[in-house]
Amino acid sequence: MKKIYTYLLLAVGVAGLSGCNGDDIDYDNSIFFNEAEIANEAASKNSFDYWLEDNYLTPYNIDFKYRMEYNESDMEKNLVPADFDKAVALAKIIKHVWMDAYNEVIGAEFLRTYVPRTFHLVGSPAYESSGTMVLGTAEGGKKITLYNVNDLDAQNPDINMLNEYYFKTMHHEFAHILHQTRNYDPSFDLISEGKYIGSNWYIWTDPETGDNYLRSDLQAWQDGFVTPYAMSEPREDFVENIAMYVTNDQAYWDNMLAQAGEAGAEEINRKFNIVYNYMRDTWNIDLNDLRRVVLRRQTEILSLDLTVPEDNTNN
Amino acid sequence: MLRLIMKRLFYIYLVAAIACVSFHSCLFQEDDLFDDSAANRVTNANNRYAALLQSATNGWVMEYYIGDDYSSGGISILCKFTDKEVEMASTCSVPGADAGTVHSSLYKLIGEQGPMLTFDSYNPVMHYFATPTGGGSDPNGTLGGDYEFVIRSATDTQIVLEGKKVGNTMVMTRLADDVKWSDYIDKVTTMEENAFLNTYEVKEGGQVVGMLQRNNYTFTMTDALGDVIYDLMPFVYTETGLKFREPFVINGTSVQYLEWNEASRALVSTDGAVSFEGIYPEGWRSYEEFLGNYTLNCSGSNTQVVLKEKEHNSLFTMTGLPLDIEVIYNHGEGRLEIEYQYCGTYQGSEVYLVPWDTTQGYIVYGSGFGMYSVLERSNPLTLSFVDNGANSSYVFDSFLLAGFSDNPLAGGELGSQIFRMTDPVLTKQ
Repeated sequence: MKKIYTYLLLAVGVAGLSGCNGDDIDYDNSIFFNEAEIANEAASKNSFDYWLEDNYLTPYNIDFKYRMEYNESDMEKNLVPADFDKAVALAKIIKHVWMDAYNEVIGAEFLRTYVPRTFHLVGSPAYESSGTMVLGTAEGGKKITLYNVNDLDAQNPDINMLNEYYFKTMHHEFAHILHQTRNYDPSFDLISEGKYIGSNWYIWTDPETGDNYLRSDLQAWQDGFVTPYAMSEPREDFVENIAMYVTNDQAYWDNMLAQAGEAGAEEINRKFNIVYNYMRDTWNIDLNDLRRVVLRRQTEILSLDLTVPEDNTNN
Repeated sequence: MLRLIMKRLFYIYLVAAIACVSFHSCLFQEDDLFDDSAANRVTNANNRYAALLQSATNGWVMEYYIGDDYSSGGISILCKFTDKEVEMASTCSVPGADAGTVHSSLYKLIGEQGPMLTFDSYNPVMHYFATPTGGGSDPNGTLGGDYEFVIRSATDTQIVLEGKKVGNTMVMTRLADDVKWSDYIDKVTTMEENAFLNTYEVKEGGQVVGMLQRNNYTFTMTDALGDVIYDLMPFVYTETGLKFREPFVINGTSVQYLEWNEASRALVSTDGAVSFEGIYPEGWRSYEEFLGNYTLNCSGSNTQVVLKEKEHNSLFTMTGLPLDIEVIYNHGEGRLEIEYQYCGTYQGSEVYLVPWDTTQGYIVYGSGFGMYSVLERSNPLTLSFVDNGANSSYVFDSFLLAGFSDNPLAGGELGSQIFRMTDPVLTKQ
């Protein structure tokens, strides 16, 4: 019986492979090689496109999309493209402060392996119906989208704003990729169990009056979290620890712990201990080293040339 | 039994297999609807459009319509394409781009819903209208502008575009080579300033047949009984008058293009049959009449203030209070308007002028909230202020000049009260 099926399959296979006429490949009508289109694309390339090839595409296989692509974006939201000059400045800043920091601490191979292959810049913030702004998203380790690029002052970048809008977001999203690749110790999720409040993380309700207010950092610290957003869910809490630690100095961290009170500080410390060990043991990254390098590189932003790269081609 | 079923199944499979093989035909008699594949046709169309866009050496005039179903009307955007970028300038001042200033950005022709023209890097001239407002009841809402367009049709002199999200149709017309962009925009903005009034009488053959009320770049027409005949008809100002997006009929006469007649301060249809004559609303006063020294009376106490020119026919600065405030001149209504605003720093705090509903006892933050002036007496010029209706929950009767720890919209807390402008009345000296 089995034999019959085998023969039958073979027979059908042979019949299916038969063609009716000579199928030469028709290069003249290929949808992939349209000479005029290729010429138009080459002509439209600018010096920044070549710079991105040299600094993102060739070394890391990153497609740095600074132009708006509807199909790459959140179609539920109204968004506008990034300003060209601001996109140039941000691409240079990200390379110096974020990418090269990891390179310096652990070597280029690390980013080549784990960095998302697509960066997409969006000019406006993405607003939730509640009015909160989405500053960045990462999708399955493949893509990082950075919003609100048009708020960047390319002539005089403000380090605090850069941290708040971009670097915290990038360290945050990249940390998601790391823990999605190799998970962290599940006991982390138990430390603040019962305190995670999902999408209402930004609301603080006065226990006496019942009035709602925006949750402040201090209120989050006293609850045992490094930011209000860390209260949304355990994995956000986990990556917020990394993002806050490497973008702030020790004085900030000490002040946070002092103001958090005994219970808050104890909870933050227990969680950070797991975070620190995870990064050291799983990825061979000492967060103290990474922080030192990140903070040093931040101060170097002001001496970077953030203008449009010169055209080195003959186009 | 099992063996029997297997055998029957085998025959069924065999028949099915033979059927499949024998249905295979070598004759392809289905004619293609098009000579070429869809992908190739879009690519070839885009190549043609790229050449067409760039062939206009002095660029194109785009009638750019804003709002769902054209509800805010249109402005003219001049755009010139090279192989790398597009330069834009418009007749409308927006944050980041004053009327007439040229801003360059990128564009691309892509195949998405057919051939599509997308302006894919930020240009304030256009993208301002598509930027989410970030506040109010719909933070994700925009003013209703598009920056991605399906190309519906194209000739040497005209390209018809359809916005992808909002869906308005825009027409781009080739601009003649001898037109200077700055001259074109100056003429349109001058035209707009000439026709500053908001209310017009519609005359057909010398008879008044209705009234027009302007709102942004639309007109709403009512008949003698006050019933709406045409609601929010979108138009763009042109160099010599205005153009309605579509022709419409007044007493049997079709109207689309109107020319400005300076002598009668009227917009007249090209055949002269229909005219819109501007009406000054009651209490209208010119910008110049408002300049000067005033006594500001607030619940009995007097302060001397001065209205100084900040921007002719548009803005005043009011000095004399602890901090200067900006007062808007509404040219069409000929009145003053005062709104929520940032005034600067004072004794270490951020000072804002916030509208105040003293009846309910609330101060409210948010741009656009405030009051406008009502003429009480002509001599001396005496003005009281009433709520402008921008906030549906409160009726403002006063302002508070107050210090905050930070921008109150970003959570800044109220500190010192610097000046209480309760039930303000301005009397000119």
